[in-house]
Amino acid sequence: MRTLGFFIYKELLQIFRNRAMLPLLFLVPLVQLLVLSHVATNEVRNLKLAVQDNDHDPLARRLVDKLVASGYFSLASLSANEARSNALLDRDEADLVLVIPPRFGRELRQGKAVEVQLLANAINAMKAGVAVSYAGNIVADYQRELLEEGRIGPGARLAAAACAPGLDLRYQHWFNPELDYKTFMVPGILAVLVSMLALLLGAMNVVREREIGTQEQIAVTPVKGYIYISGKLLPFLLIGLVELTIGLGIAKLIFHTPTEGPLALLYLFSALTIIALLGLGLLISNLADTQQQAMFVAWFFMIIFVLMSGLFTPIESMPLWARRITWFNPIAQLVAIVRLNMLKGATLAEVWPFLRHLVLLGLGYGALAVFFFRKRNG
Amino acid sequence: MPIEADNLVKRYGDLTAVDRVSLRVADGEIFGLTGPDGAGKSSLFRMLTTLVRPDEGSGRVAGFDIRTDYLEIRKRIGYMPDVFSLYEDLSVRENLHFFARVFGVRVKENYHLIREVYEPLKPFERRRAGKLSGGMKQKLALACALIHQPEALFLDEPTTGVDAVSRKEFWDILYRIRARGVAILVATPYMDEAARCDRLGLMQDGRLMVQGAPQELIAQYPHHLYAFRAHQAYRYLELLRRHPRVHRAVLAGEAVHVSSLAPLDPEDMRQYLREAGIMDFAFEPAAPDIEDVFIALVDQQQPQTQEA
Repeated sequence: MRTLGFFIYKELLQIFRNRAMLPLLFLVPLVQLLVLSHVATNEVRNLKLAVQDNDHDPLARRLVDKLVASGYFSLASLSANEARSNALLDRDEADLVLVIPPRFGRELRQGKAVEVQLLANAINAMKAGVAVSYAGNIVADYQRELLEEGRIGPGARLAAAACAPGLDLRYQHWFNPELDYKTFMVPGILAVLVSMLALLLGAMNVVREREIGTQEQIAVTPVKGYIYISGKLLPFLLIGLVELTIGLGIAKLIFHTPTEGPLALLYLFSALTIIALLGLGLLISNLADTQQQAMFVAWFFMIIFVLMSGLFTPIESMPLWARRITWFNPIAQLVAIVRLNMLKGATLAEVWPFLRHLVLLGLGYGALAVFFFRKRNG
Repeated sequence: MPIEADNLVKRYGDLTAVDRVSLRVADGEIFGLTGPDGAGKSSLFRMLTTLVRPDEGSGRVAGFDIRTDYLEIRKRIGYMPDVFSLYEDLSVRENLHFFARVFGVRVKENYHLIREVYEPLKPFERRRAGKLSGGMKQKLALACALIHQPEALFLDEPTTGVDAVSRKEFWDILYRIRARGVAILVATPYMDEAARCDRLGLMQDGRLMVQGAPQELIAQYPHHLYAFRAHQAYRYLELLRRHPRVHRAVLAGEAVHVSSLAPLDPEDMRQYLREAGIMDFAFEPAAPDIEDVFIALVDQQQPQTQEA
């Protein structure tokens, strides 16, 4: 163990002495974080709203005002009839049509249950889902407001029925009612960036020592192979977790992300992901003769892993074969867990399948890497 | 015997890099290996230092089998590969302490082992190893190879790329290490260094063609040798080679070494040279050195390539 400590110390000395390495390690992920956190969001603004008001009651008008005042909707058309609503949707001049039924105001005041209809333009499924969900939230909010003001009967219920052809509206934002994506995407993006860097640098670091010839010098010492390899890879786990901490601090300052509760799980899963990726990095290093080759192979995996992680495109909407590939992607597991965790503070029972999956991936990549390492180094 | 090799064979595909090599190095003995690039010296080193397994034959280092007890061997040997392989981005001091730790020893306790090598480096302790001169790099590498008190030292062309003064210093240090009873196996392309070894082996195409004390090897020189000296002597190589009784003419420093299978009459040769228009020269019988022995041996092995 003491020998391992000395190897890690030596490795850290070398990493921090490398002028190209420091900006790569600490600046790049932070800049990426600042840029990506603004694009990896499902937030949609300026949705075009058409209203088909069949009642013209002040309460109906107030609902429309409230939707527009939210800032997410701009009013495209008012007092449309049904045919015109459909035409607006067809011509893509409206993203959402709100249908207010006749006797809307009267029935609410009488304490009855009233349902407004939301017709969404489902060409862009994501946008439609978001539009329906925003509107649904605002409608629910509106009902609460009216009840508190005592303007409607005590038993009155206002509900929004969504209707979008071919759209499955399971997409509900129960745990993030304000739909503030930055809040939960920032830690996820950070974890992804940090672990990808570990893959790249881990692979290159092992090849580097072989390239400069010192691996042979170490090979004639009594140091065991696993100590040597751990000494080359573990510094990147340490650095990764330090980067995660720095990044979270910056995220808190800039994006005011909440940092209570589920942070321990974030660290645990980031560490497991990094370990799995370091295993893959070692595997890559065995198949590469130069740092450049290692870098290109690692880059190949990085692109695939990030794009197929579910960070930008939901895995559920991928074809089956692609979903099968993501089984081997530790990043996909990390993103899934970060979503789950950051949204509602997951319990251990809920994260257990992901935990097991990541450990399996780590063991799998590690075993393959050790097998090829033995083969290569006799 | 700290270093023993018996009929070691190493093949890489169709190439037999080391072909049935046997040698012994005793305590306090410097055994030199010389021969052209690709003769198999490094492959032999790599087997004896447990980096690769031999395909055939056996070997023992510090009393342990190179096939099975490699971990024990690695604790007891020092190795300097043919390229500088310390950490160039670590300082002199950090390299030394790192390798001491790797062997589980402390620099302080073993400093007496490396004093004469390391003392000249002391003023540069904080300098990065990559910024040292060739001679200092090689002293640092030797210090790192000695810090754990090895019983056997393997030096693969340690003085390549090092200036003449540093080479001489290096050999003075080797003699002092030898005096402590360490067995030293050293590969060298320099014939003057080969002559300084206690015993010497000449390698060619994977085979150890001959071994013995340098003086013994020289005594076995099979031909007759003469030295030709003149201003720009190399210009007359072809002329000398054209003489029917000259077996070989090769450059040896400023002079040309001329060998023949039967004794030559120097006066006949001088006449031949004067007739060719050379006036200011000397042609005398000469004592062969290691290089002459080596060239003669290569000729005997491969007479068909002597014109090359």
